[in-house]
Amino acid sequence: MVERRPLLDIFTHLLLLLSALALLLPVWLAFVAATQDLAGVSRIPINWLPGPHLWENLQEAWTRGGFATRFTTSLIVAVGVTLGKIVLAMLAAFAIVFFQWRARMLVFWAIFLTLMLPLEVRIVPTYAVAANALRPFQAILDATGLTALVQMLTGIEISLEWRMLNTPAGLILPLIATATGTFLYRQFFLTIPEELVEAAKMDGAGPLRFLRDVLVPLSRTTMAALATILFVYAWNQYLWPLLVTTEPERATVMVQLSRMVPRGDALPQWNIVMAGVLLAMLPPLAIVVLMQRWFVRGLVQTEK
Amino acid sequence: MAAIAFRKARKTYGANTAIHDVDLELPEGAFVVILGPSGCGKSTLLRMIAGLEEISGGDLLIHGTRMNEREPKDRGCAMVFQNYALYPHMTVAENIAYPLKVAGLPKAERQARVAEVAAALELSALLERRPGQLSGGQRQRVAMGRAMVRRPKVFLYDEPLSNLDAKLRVQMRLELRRLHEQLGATSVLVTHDQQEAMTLADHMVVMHAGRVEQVGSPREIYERPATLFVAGFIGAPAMNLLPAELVQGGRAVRIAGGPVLPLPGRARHGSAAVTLGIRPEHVQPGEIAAQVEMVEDLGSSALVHARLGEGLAMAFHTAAEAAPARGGRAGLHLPAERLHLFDPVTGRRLALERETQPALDYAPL
Repeated sequence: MVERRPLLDIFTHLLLLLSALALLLPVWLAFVAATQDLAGVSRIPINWLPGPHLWENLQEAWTRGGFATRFTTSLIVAVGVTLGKIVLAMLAAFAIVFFQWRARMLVFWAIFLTLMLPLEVRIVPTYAVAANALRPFQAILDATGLTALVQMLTGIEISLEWRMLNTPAGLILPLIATATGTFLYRQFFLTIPEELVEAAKMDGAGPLRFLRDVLVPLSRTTMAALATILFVYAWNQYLWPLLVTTEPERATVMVQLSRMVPRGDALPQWNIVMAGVLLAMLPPLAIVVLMQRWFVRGLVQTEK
Repeated sequence: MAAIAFRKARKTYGANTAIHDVDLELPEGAFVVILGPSGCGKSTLLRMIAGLEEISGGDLLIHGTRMNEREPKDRGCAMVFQNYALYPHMTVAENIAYPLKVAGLPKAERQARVAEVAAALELSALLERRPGQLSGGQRQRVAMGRAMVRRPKVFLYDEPLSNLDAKLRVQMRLELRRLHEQLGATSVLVTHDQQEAMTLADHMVVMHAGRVEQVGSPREIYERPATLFVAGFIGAPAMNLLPAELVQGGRAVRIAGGPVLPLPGRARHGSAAVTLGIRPEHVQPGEIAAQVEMVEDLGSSALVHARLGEGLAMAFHTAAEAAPARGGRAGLHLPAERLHLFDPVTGRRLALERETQPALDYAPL
């Protein structure tokens, strides 16, 4: 649709500009703060222009936060969550779109409903499971009386335990179920012509072969778009890592950042915190810049 | 032995029956065309052979073996789809080689087979292209190649030419026929285009509403349509079908309120009412008066739409130069040997008993 309405154009551009400014202002403030010394960052009214101390603040934040290990943990978690989500979403959508089974629509709607449930809603049970991943099974055994039976017969008490707190698995696994990804993949799979599926059947390719040889290569752009979103999502996770990493050594970057916030009567070294913030922003920024081309293509879906 | 045989084969979707108890034998090495209007079940029948559609009842035999429950790949059939169904992310060579790759053939052999097929289809120069960079005709040939490379005993074509433009379609038709001769396999092609069917088929199957109406060579079907449906469906323009009644004990027929025409034999039928058919191209100049309504100049000939005395519509061909003027009169002759009689209730063709030698008062065409 081509419309020529100069007033509307000006208005929409103005709106865009304002939104961009509103989004960029905090980033600018963080950047300015990160370039000040303690006096500069505490000054009132605040400084709007950068000072000369950026490099030393970054170094200070890096060593004080122990960011070398924090970044490694965060990267492992973000990459793990991203890969896990993509694989799981793809397989779930594959089952929903290409197989005829009775509970298909039910499962789809169940997944779709969880789109509306954020992690926070299920955080208590999820924590219980992470504390002992085998606890649901233990509960089943207890409830059915099997534990008591076995103990009576053999004298052995069944006590299943798999602790995931403070482990990468505990950080990653509870986050990898993804309704958004499943939905995105489903939409993509629905655009695959039926004839292509049948051609693969005639050519002798089984379902997994079809997935590997046809669907995966065709969904590369979708995958890239999803990976971009998910990496940023996983990197920015705060609440879950905070709960599940009880040992400070296991913390992610985001958790570490919150620990660096000055509390009580500590020195208000916001310049160091903001330098840490800048550092924490870099990986998602790099991913978005690198994947931008694929990201747009994946969402627009022109290549068929 | 028949290459493909259906024994009381049925296909139902819930309460709907798409294919009604079909009994059909398709001879080995023949080019079989399944023809019918859209929705008649012809594609379903083809997909039942391929294994893409489950068979609800009855048996499917391919080369004598029951195939109902076999996987598509184990049936020895290859299929060419209407929209070609090429893998968009693979090159032409990869597309053609894919069935072999799945079958686990070593790379060297795959390449040799692909090269051979590509040469036969004149695709050798295009092997590194992607389907998106090819024209419709080229894509069609790649789809053919992917089917040929497995050296199947049976080729299945699901309306393969319907996405091509008219000129290319004629060309690909010849190509299909040539490939069929070369490969010596059985080909089964589904189409709604009767011209395509007539030119390609050795053996034609006409379907209507999930039933097989008639099986035979294109000539047989054209000359002796077994039902009213086939009579109306085969031939362009369609056969003239007129209400009529049998007179003189079935030795002649009277067009409703019009002339009496002698028959070349004796028709035995319970009631007098019949439907009389004659093809526009078989009508000759003669004694029956008709009012000309419209003349279509087709270049090599003219198609005249006229009405008989009682207002019955009748179309016929004449030489373009001899075409009557619109609104004028024309005299028609309906040769006895070219008449078809049908039961208007069941739609079945009525056979004639030859009692005496028919009087030859026309020149056989």
